[in-house]
Amino acid sequence: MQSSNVTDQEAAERLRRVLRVTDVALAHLSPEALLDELLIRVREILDADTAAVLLLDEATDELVARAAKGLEEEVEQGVRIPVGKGFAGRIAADRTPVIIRRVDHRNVLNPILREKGVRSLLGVPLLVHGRVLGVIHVGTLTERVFTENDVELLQLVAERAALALHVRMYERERMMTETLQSVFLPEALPNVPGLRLASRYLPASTSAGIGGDWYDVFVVPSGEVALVIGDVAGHGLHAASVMGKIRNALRAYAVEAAAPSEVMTRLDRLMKPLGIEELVTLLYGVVDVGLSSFRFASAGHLPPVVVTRDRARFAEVEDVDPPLGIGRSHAFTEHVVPLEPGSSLLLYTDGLIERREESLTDGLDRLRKAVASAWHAPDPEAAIATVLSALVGDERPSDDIALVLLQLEQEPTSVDLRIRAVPGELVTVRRALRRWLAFAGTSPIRDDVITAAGEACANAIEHAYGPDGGWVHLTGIRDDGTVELTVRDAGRWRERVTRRGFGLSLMQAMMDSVEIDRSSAGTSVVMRKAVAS
Amino acid sequence: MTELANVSLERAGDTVIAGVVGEIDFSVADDVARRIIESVENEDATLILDLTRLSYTDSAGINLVFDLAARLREHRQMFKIVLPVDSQPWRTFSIVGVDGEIPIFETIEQAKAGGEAAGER
Repeated sequence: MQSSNVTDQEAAERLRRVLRVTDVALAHLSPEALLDELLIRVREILDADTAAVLLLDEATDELVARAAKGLEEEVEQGVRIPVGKGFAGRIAADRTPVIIRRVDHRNVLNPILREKGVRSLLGVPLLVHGRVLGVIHVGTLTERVFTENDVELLQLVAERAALALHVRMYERERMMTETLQSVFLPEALPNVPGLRLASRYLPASTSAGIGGDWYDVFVVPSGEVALVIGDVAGHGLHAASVMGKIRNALRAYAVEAAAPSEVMTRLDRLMKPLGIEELVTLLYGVVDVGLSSFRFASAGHLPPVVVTRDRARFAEVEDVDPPLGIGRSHAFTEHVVPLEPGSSLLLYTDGLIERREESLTDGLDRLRKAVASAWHAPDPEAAIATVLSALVGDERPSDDIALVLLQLEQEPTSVDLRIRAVPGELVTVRRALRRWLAFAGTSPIRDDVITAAGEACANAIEHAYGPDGGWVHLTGIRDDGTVELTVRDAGRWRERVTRRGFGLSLMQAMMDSVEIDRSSAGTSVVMRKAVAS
Repeated sequence: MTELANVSLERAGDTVIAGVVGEIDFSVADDVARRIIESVENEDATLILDLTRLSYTDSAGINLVFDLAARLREHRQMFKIVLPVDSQPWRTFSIVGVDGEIPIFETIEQAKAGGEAAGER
């Protein structure tokens, strides 16, 4: 027999063809087209009459026929085989190749295989990183003994196909998620002086896992910073579209209505007209302009975590309001969390804490500890990463997760500001001083200091420089209950008659002392005022 | 330009109600003044300047209301200001005696009725 050499040559040729199975030409194909192309080549290489791929549906633990050659009915009829049952089910369950020399009803579950007259079968699992993606099998209409060589060839194909499929499925899922995120999640978080913000949305691990969780952060016309976190029950595009409707309605109401409870009440009334029947939990609140409190209303949502001086606790929510659209239209309760410089606020959805084997209380407790341990993180991005690695780890979550973290910067102990000598910079001066004087609350004393500083800077801008402009330097220190402000310019005082000199009257009336020193090098104004701290 | 301050205009008979929302400093005062002056016609009897939602003003706002008062006086037109007591603008105005020259009311209704001005109590 001279066949052994021929067989070797044949084997080498077959191998070459196998390597072509996942070559560059296939790289651009969609998963469906890739499977089709793959099966054509597999059938040819192994000289088989039929070839089919079944992919695992993780939600039902069934294999679903996704592509077939010579067995097209299998796909058309959407054949589903439970893992562990029949020929394909056994391959997926045991993760090993299975050869059937003679098909009969005892070893093959799928009637199509029998009706088609398939006599012999060879199948191997599609594995990626030890995870079963599905099964690929070939069959012949005449009886055939599949050899070890055949098994190896099909395994080689399966290995490459699984990897290519995995990448494509992962890419597609990521693309869908990214599309949704780009539509419904804010493109960028607002930049608010004194606040640092970070947020994250993690889709769930299953391919249908894009859920109805969302977050939103924006500044309303009054200057308050609005924070939103919500969760529409269910998954998939429907949940996401419900989420989109509510998100847009909320944004519209937030611009009109000042109070979070009012915004929530209006949203609640909107559920029926919009035909939304899903359970929706939602938390909406605003941080005031002085960054001293978070006012919020909650429709059955989990309470925010507040971190103050190393201590993490949940915002107290008495009288929990039910999720949106529960039916009886009612007024929502408003809750207030006091904030102080250096404190943090975390809003999240239940995916962050829910574990199958764990009670809600235990989950909340783990969250509280994780947030407390993230307290020393250098910035909110790092804090979110710390919380996520403590609660979720490296695994993809089983439910989607949205979270927003807000940190108040530490109160500045002094102010040192250099501005261009143009009127448009006066608002910068006020912003910096408001933040610095946050300790004084919204008191008239704080207003006086800000107004007097504004006048001193306005004088310098108006009188110190010619058309070339210049700089104004403002410093402020706080010492023993007294605020001292210094405003310096390097210009020469040019008296103007166009405006009446109310500025100096205001400065003198609003501050305890005002000293003005004019020299050829410029003007400096030093003002002091006692502030109760 | 006027991101800081928004001017809204409303007319009730021969009265113009100009509302200024936001903050006035000398970067926006001229612009705000121009918008208000343009809104007052020759045959109007009264201008009510509603500063209920003005959260801040510096001396540029004082100059603005005194200039408005002078112009309207020339045309024999009435000028009233609505401003809640205890606000930053109220304190700023009262330090230099705006309330001594221009009647200030706490609400629009009081200003329309022309009753006793807050500054005259």
